[in-house]
Amino acid sequence: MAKTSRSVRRPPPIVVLLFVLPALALFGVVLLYPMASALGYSLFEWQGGTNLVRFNWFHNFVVLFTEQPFVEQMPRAFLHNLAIFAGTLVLQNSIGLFLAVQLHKLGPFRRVFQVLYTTPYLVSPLVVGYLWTLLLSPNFGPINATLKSAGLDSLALSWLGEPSTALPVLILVSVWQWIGFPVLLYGAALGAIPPELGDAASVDGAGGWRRFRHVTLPLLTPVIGTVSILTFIGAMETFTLPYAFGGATGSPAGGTDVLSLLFFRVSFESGASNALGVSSALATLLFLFILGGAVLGRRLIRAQEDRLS
Amino acid sequence: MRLTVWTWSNEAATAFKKGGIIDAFEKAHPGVDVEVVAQLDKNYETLLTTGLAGSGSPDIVALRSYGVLSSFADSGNIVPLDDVVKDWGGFSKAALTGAKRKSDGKLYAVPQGIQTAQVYYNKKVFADLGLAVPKTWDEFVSAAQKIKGSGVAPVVIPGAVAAQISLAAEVIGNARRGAGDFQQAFLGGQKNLTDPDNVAAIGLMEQLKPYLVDNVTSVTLDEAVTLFATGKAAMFPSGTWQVTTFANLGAKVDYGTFDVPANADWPSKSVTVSYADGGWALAKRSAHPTEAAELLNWLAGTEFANLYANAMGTIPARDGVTLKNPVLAEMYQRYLSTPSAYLGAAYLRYGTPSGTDLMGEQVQKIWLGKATPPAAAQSIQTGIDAWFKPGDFKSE
Repeated sequence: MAKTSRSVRRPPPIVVLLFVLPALALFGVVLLYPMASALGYSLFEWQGGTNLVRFNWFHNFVVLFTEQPFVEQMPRAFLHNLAIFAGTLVLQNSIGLFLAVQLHKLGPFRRVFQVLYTTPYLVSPLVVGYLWTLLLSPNFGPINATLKSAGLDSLALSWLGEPSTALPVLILVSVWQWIGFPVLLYGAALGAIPPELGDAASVDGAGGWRRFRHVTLPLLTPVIGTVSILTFIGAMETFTLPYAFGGATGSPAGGTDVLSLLFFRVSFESGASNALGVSSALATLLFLFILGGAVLGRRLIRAQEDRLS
Repeated sequence: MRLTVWTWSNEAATAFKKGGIIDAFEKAHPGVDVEVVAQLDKNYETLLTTGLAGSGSPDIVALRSYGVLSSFADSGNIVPLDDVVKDWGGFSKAALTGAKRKSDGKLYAVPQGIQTAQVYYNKKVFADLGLAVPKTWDEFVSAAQKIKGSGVAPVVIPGAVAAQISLAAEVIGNARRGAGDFQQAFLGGQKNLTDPDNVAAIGLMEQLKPYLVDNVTSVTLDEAVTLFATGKAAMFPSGTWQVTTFANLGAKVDYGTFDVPANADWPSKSVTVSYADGGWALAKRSAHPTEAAELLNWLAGTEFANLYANAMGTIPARDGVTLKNPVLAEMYQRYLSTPSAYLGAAYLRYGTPSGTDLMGEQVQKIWLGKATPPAAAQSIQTGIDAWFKPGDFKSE
């Protein structure tokens, strides 16, 4: 009797496999294969693009940590990625949450503003980068022209021409573009919090801020976590906006160089014979770091959720 | 039968079809049809890697010169042409250098064209201030000083773009560095980039700083073109292709061009900076190698060079061509008489980091006050030391 009930609950493995196969095949071809092949490529030495020379163990990875230009450019690019992550994390979570809370109170016009805040998100980062380059141009752009006509000449900076301002501007424009995403996520999460909880807290004498701090915020922890992890992934992988701003070299003077640009220079722009091997090693390293960071972030957030519940 | 030719350039494909190039060839070679296909520029090298490796390979492919070409030659999917093309006599050494494989010095492409780089100047600004084309570098600087006094920016360089800065630095510094003699010593390993003459050449970019358009490190290529074309900047060191850009913009600016003049105590006289701009290669898996070879021989001749250069508005890689555009004809004459290779493009783009990227970054640092010319030269040398070995270039 027990035997039959078990067989009813779980069909033979072969049947399970058959049902999962289409999805598995798609996953394999579209995701697993490219990832595995990048890892595979990184272990070989190549000549002239795609001619395999020999198995090279981890030599390509060693090159990244011992040879020019990587010993100099990889840490620089990595720090910029981290700065972009830290900047967008703080700004997107705070501004995004603030806007979502304000919109939540707004009622009928909420949709209109949600759409407005999300619009830049629908434009390609390449276009966004190009438009902001024009807006920020010291010679032609309206931003500096406005500042100058208001007598604020000292603020009319060479925004994308100085390393000290180029990276902060990059972060701000990135936040400007993606802010609609956390606004939507936080908006949905706020809508899902039963109003009774806030009402109950009010009855207990909690004011607006305390209600938000002790009722709303803890319930938003999972969403804050999701936004943070997605921000992390986005910041580590960022390519299009820095490319639109500073080209493949991270102009000015490497001030906006990031890991993906370094990858691009090695894999697509260099005439180096073993470009495929070294760039695959860099890609693999970046993937592992993002994976590790995301898993760690998820752990931390789950621990936080457990503590709160 | 049909020969298929691939290129990354829509303009080239159009020139072949509408400029009478295909017609001219097909008329002389009955039974051979030529089809020119423009592939997506952005993915061209990737498309080529796949296209040349599989069945249905194109017969002849356009390739970017130097590093890209050499890398495709390494892959074995294009074949050496030294014996396929009968007559190489009309091509300049500079053009042929860009068509050689680095490791064996064999020719793998028929040169397509040449880019020269020079200073574009606004004739009206010069005339209004009573300035003539400078004959020495000192005259160049005092002309810039005078232009600055009139309220026009003397020189514009697209200072936000590494490759453009590097090109401008080459226009300004090639003769100061010692032109062909320096190149030979550099490739032979007797001199490197920290040589005093090269430091002095980079130093010219520092000397130029007070005469550059404001906020130069934020100036994009489009902005630089606009500043020059609208008369807001008087001089613009750049490549041949700007002639077409200015024409397409409908710019009203009346301009001329000159090579940066040399001082008497410089190691070289004034030169025309030039570099190979692509070539035609023969696919190893071509189904019709005999006919493809015929087409290549024709692409190497003067009939094609005349048709192509005039249709495209470029400088031909070989002699025996009459250019209809007077500005281009002038550049072509200078190129034939005093050519000097763009060192960065010709030899320093075979590895990471590329010498031209490094040059762009270091000159930006000089302009931002974060580096000196000797430090910049040292930094560029250290960068290319990662992969550049003197004597690697079998072709020289």
